[in-house]
Amino acid sequence: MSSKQRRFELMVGALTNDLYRYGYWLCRDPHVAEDLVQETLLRAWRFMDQLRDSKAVKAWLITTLRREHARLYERKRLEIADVDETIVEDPQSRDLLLEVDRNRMRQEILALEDDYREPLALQVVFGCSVKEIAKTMELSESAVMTRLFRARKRVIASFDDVPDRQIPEEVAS
Amino acid sequence: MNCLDFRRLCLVEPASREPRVYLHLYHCPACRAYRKRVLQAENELNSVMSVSVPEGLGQKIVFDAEMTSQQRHPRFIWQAIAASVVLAVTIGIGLGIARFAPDVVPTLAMHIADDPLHMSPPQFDASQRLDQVMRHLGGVWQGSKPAITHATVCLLNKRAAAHLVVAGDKGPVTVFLLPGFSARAQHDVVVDGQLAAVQRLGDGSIALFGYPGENFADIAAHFDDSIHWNHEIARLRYDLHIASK
Repeated sequence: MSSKQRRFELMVGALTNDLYRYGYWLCRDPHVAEDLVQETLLRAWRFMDQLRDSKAVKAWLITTLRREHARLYERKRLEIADVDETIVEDPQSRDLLLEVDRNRMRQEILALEDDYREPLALQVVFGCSVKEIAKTMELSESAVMTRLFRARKRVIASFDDVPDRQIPEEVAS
Repeated sequence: MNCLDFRRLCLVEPASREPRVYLHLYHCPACRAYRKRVLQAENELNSVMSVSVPEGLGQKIVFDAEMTSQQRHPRFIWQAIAASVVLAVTIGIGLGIARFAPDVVPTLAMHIADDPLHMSPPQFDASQRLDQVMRHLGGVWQGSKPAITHATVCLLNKRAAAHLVVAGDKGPVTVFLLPGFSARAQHDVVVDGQLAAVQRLGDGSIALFGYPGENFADIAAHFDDSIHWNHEIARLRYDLHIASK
C-alpha cells in the first residue's frame, strides 16, 4: 500500500462520518449528503499530494464540501426528501418523552434557515470555533456569534428543560 | 461579565472555558443552574445532530478512489472490446454514419463489477428507497412496484442515475434508469456471462442486465408504464452534476 493510499484511508476513516453529518445538515437529504461526501473525498484523493498539512486537511475538506453543495444549488434549489423520511430513529432509546423532545429538536434544526443551520452544524459536528466558522463561511466573527445564538436559542428552546423566557432576545455585537 | 452576557455566551459557545465564565459561575447560582440546563440541551443537540452514517460509506469511497486510480491505467479488456466494436462499426457500416448514440453497456458493466455490494442481501427498505431515488431523479413511481432488492442513486459518466436490482424470472436483474440520456439501443449484448439490453424510456434510456432468458421487454415496459417523469427536475439534476465538475 502506497503512502498516499495509507494517508487517504486514514483521512477517510477519521473524517467521513463528520463530513456526512455536516453534509446532511447542509442539504437535509441523506442521498445528496452521501454524494457530497463522495465527491469531496474523491476530490481530496486527486489532490492528495498537495494535502501535506494535516491540520489544514479538515478545513480543506469542509470548504470543498461547501463548494460542492453550493454548486448543486447555485442555479436552483432542488426538491428535497420529505422531512419525515429523513428522521433517524434511535431504536436504543427507551425514553419516549426524551425521544419526543429529540424529535421536536430535530424538526427545529431542519426548519432553521440555511444561514443559521450551517454554523451550528460546523460547531456541533466538527467542534469548530467561532473564528474557524467565520473563516469558513467568510463572515465576521460577530455575525457568526449572532447566528449561533439565534440558532441555538430556537433549537434548545424546543427542548423542555430550557424555557424560552430565560434566553435574552438579542446579542450585543 | 454580568448575567446577560453570560447567558448570551452560553448560547454561542456552551462549552466555553474562558476564565470569566468560571468566575461568573462561582458567584452566580442562578447562572450555574441555567448553564446546567443549557448543557443538558446541548447534549441532546449533539445526539440529534449525530445522524446515522450509511454503513460502509468510507470503505466504498476508498474503493472508488482505488478504482479511479486503476482506470487511469490501461484497461486492456475493455479497451479491446471498445476497439473491436469501433472497428466492426467502422468496417461494417462504413463512415457514412456521422452520429450515433453512445454505448453505455461497457460503462454500466464496469460499474456493476465495481460495486458488488448491490448484489448482497436485499436492502430492508428498498421499496421505500425506490421512492426516494425516483424523487431524486425527478420521477414518481405510480402503480405496482416490482420486487426490488436494491435502490440507490449513482453517478455514471458524472451523471446521476438510478441503480436498481429487481427480481426477474431467471434471477436478479440490474436496472439503470438514465433520464435525459439517449443511449444506443441494444439487445442481447453478452457481458460477463450476462445479457444486457438498452432501450428508450421516457426522454432517456433504461439499461437492463440479467441472465439469459430474462424477459427484459416486460420489465422495461413495467418501468415505462409506472414512472411519471418531471423532466424539468430530471434535467436539472443532470445539469447540476455536470456543472459541479
